[in-house]
Parts: sequence; structure tokens; C-alpha cells
Amino acid sequence: MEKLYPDLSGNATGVSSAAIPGTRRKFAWLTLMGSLLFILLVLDIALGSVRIPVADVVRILIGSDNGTDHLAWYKIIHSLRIPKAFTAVLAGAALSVSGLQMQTLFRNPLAGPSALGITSGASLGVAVLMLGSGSMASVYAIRQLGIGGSWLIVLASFGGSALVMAFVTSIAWRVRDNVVLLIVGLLLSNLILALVSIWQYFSEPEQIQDFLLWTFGSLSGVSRQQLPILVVVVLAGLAVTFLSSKHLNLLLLGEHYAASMGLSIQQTKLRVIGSTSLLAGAVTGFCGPIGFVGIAVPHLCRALLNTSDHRFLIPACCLVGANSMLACDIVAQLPGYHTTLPINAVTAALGCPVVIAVVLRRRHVNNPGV
Amino acid sequence: MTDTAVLRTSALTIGYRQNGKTVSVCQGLDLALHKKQFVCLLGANGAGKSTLLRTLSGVLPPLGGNVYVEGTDIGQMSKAALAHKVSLVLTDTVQAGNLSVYTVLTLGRYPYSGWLGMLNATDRAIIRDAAEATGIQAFLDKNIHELSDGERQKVMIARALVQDTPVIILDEPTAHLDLPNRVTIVRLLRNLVQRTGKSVLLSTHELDLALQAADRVWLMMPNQSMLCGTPEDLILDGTFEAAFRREGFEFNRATGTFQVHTPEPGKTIHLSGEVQEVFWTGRALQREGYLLTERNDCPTRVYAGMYNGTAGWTLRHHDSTCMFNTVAGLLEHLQQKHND
Repeated sequence: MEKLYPDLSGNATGVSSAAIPGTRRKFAWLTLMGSLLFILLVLDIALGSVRIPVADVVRILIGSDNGTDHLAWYKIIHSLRIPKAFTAVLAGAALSVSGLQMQTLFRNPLAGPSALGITSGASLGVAVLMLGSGSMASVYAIRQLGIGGSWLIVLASFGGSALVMAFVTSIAWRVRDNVVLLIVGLLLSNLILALVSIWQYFSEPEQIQDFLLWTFGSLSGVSRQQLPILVVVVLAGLAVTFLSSKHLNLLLLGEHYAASMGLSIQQTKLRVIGSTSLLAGAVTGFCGPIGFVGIAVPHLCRALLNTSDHRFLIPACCLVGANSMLACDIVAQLPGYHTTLPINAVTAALGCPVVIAVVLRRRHVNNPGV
Repeated sequence: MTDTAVLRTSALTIGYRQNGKTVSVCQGLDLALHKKQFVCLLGANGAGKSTLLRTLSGVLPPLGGNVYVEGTDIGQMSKAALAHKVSLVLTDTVQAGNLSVYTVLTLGRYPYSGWLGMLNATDRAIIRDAAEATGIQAFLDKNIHELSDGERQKVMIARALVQDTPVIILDEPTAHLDLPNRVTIVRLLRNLVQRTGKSVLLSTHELDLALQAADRVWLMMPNQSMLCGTPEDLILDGTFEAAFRREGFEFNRATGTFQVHTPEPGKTIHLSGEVQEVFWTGRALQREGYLLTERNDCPTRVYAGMYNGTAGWTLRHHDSTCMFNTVAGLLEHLQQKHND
């Protein structure tokens, strides 16, 4: 076949037909992460405050024990640990992928899923519910149903996030400059949190305590009825993001080059905001605000895979995010002890050193493409 | 009406909006870029080169008039369709550090590739050819941030080649590069035009390279007018000189360069000798502030010639004669004499 471009530079040497170099290594790496996921999943289910022998765990999982022998253990595993483990997987994947998108869109290595105010919107909604409602009836209702099991809290959280996202989207529609959008998002978050803290100032101790507990985040609050919804929403968000891999890759070249290749920047921006709302909004609604995973995992993946190609990074972030969340959950359970640590504390304690280590090893931190 | 121009403007007015006000940079432009043509866009900083290029590539909407690419008004085209016709190379190097060179090239196929950026055999062949053409096949699997500036710009040019458009627009792509890289890139683009029939529109400050390489030159003057033509025509008919003299610069049509030095009063010298030695000695004397004259009755005369294979200079002032082996020696002597 005649070459489209003859040698123009005057120094042609033969070139091998190259598939994307290093692809095999990346696929191997992803397979490794997938295997690790299974291991951590089983570990997370096996460990907990109640000591259940591993053999029994496996038996219950594969279904050879229907609870006739150890009813309590069966219930614990099926009603508590399995939903919790799957929540951890979904939350880890969702938060990491939304963090990745935020970092690409804003070309800012410190951007995370909360950059556009989703978390603060959720806080606002939950604050309205827990602090604003002084009526004994609703407080009683929350107490009875438990923090996470309450649909009320989930809806309040979604409502607050949706409100803030609508505001931010209307700004994104009009403002072309992403830095402006980021600043608006961050300052809006701060404003809302200030309002919430004023509210807390005038609230009853029990209400403050309940709200505080919510802010610690919890993976155990998702009931078996709620889990399918989380699954559907998160999978939808992940699918939308993965299908936009090409567009996200183009954004890395800069908006001028991307536009010159036919990318509609506004459409892409809105798609990113939309899928981030789905992913981060769902997780925050069901689990409360969980931080650091969204910022740390994309950096970790970029460093380990040595690429900024979203077609690899998105699956990688899903896997590494899920693994990280499972690891944090295992640590938070303090297996053998009868207390658990709040998940937010563990993600911060594990996440920050990782980010610091990754950042110190690299020479260019100024943009998330590196 | 058959339109042989690949890129054509009709009564184009370019400008931009700033703080709600419309700033017009140039009006009524009728320009044409033809197939297999290399055009250089020249102009002072702030003359509006970037604005023109952005308008021609569809990034900025025109304030008035139309831009036609292969006969179609770009205002009527979708961005995706335009991406099949016009590709861009910009000044600033890309900040996508962790992307491999190969991935950046694959991005150039975006207007043609599948929904996940899947490439077929044709796409891969084009990428391979573009990499060979620009000589970057050695660093296909390196990350962008590992390359030097010159190599990075070559990658961006290869990416534009991969996009396979009839028109390639480059906005000062060699601004941050050293001279060898500039020459390499201009040479590459020139070869590209000759051998593939694409059209290239390049904006640059490199007057020398532009005058050598361009088929046509578009010169944007600060008074919002535009001069177009073959470089040699513009020089020989005095257009260049006139245009620059208006702005206060002397363009020397013999050397194709701008006059940096103005002669000092009372310093006249007559220079003769071998062609090459006369050329360079003349420049040195002009730097010292001398006015070169043809008059034979000038009291100070220099002969620059070859003696036994090495260059030598003979200075005659009234009756005294001195000889020098180097230009430096000649200049030193003249300086001393002038100071006496």
C-alpha cells in the first residue's frame, strides 16, 4: 500500500507496526488488581467484630450452609457483611472515577468529587433534616430507623446535592473558564458548610451528635433493599464515564486542540458534571461524605500504570478504588475488637501518605496529566 | 463556480469581544490559500496574526464576512466536519505529560475513530506513516514530558498529519525552539506541501525562514491592512521596504534583512574586494557606524581580499597603508583612529 506520507525528514529507518506500547503490561496489571479485589472482598466479609471461622464463612458464601447450622453467623454475613463489602466496592470505584474526571476536567491535581459542591449539598440536605427539624416526631423516626437505614436521610442528601449541582450546572453552562467554575464550586461548598455550622451552633446536643455521626461516613448503612439502587446508579455512572474515555483523553491535550479536533467542550463538560453527580451523589447519599479516596486513587493509578489514558485509567481507578475502600474497611473494623473506626478517618489516614509519596516521586505536579 | 482555493475568505472582518466591547482587528480581507501552497503569515506582535488564524480555523467566529474551506462556509459546518478539513498546531507545548507519544498520535484520528477511540488498519497505517515522516518513530513509546521542546512540537505536527486534513494551520509553532529545530520544522513542512499536496498556513516571526520557504507571504501591518504576494515580488517592487519604513524600520532588499545600525556622521568608507569578504566586512563596518560609499574619492578605503589562501584586509587612509589578518584588527585600528 502506498504510503500516505513519504519520508519528509530525510532520515527514515524502518518502523515496526506498533500496537500501543506497554499494553500487555497494563492488562496484566489490571488482572492483578482484579484478583486482589476478590481476595480483599472475601477478607472483608470474613473479618469483623464477631469472629467467624474462615471455613464457615466460605461455606456460607458458596451456599452450602443455609443458616440451619449457624443462624446468627448466616444473618451477619448476608445482612450485614455482604452488603457492606459491596458498598465498599461500589463506593471506592464511584468516588475514584469521579475524582479522576474532576482532575481531568479542571486540570487540577487536587480536585476531587467534592470539587463542585456535591458533598456540601448533601450536608445541607441532611442538616435541614437533622438540625432544622426540631420536631420530636422526625427525630424519633430517625432514631428508630437508624442513621443509614433511613430513606429519609438518603433522600435529604440527594435533594441537597441536586440543588447544589443544579446551581453549579447553570454556571457551567454560561462560564467557559473552568478555573472560574472550580473556584465557584469550592467557595459555594465553604459557604454551605458555614451555614450548616451556624445551624449546629443553635441545635440540641443529640441532633449535633447525629449529624456528626453522619459526617463520619459509614459503609454499613446500606440495607439489602437499598443496595440494588446503589448498584444501578453507580454502574450507570461508570458506564457513561467509560464511554467518554476518548473525549476525556482529548481534553488532556488542552481545550484548543480538543476543539480543533471536533470535540464539543461544553457537551463534554456537562457530561462530566452529570456522571460525577450520579457517582458521587449516590455514594454520599447512601454512605455519607467519604473523602480522600477520590483524590488519592487517580494519582496512585497514574503513577502505577504510568499513563494518562482514560481507557486504562477508568478501569484501574475502579479496581484500585474498590481495593482501597475494602482495605480501609478492613482496618476500620479493627477485627477482633468490638469497636469500629469511622471510615473517613481511615481513608484520610491511608490516603494522605499515599498522595504525598506519589507526589514527591514525581517532578511535575502542576497538572493531572502527569 | 469552481473554487480552486482550499481556504478562502470573502470580505472577512476579524476581531474579538472583550469586556462586552467588540474590537475589530482587520476588515475586508479577501485571502486565498490554494492547494499545494505554503503560506507564511507575518506581522508584528499584536498585529492580529493569532486572531486571524483562530478565525480561519473556526475557533473564533468572524465579526463579518465569510471563511470558506473547500467551498463550504465554515459557519455552516459542524465542528466535527471542520475537523476533517483543518488541523491546528499551536505555540505552546502540550501539558499532557503522562500520555505516550503514540497515544497523542492516536488522538489525531479522533474525527475518524470509533466510539472508544478504536482504530482500524487504515488509521494505524496513517499513524505509522506520519511518525516516519516526521522522524519520531524512535520515541513512540516515550511519554510526552520526556521529550525536548523540538521533539514535542514534531509530535504535535505528526498529530496534525494523522488528522489527515487538506489544510494545516500552525500558530508560531517554532516560537520556543532553537534555530536548528526551526529549520528542521520549516523544512519538514515545505517537503510535506511539495510531496502530499496539502496546504500549510504558518504564522511566524522568522522573516528569513519565511522568505526562503513560503510560496506566498501574507503580511499583516499594524495599520490593519494586509499585503499578500510572492516574497520576491514584495521585496523587488519595494512593497516590503515601503511597508516597514512607514513603521520606522529600514528593510535592506539586498540582504533581505532589517537595518539594525544607522551610520554616524563623518564616518564614510569605501569598500571593495572579493564578493564574500566584501559582504561580511561591510556588515562589520556598518556595525561600527560607517556608511559605505561607491565614491572613489573617499579618503578611507578598505580592500578585502584573499592573500595566499587566507583573507586579508588593506586599509588606505590618505597616504598611509595598513594590513590586517582579521576583521577584528581592522575594526580596532579604525576605532583608535577615530578616537584620535
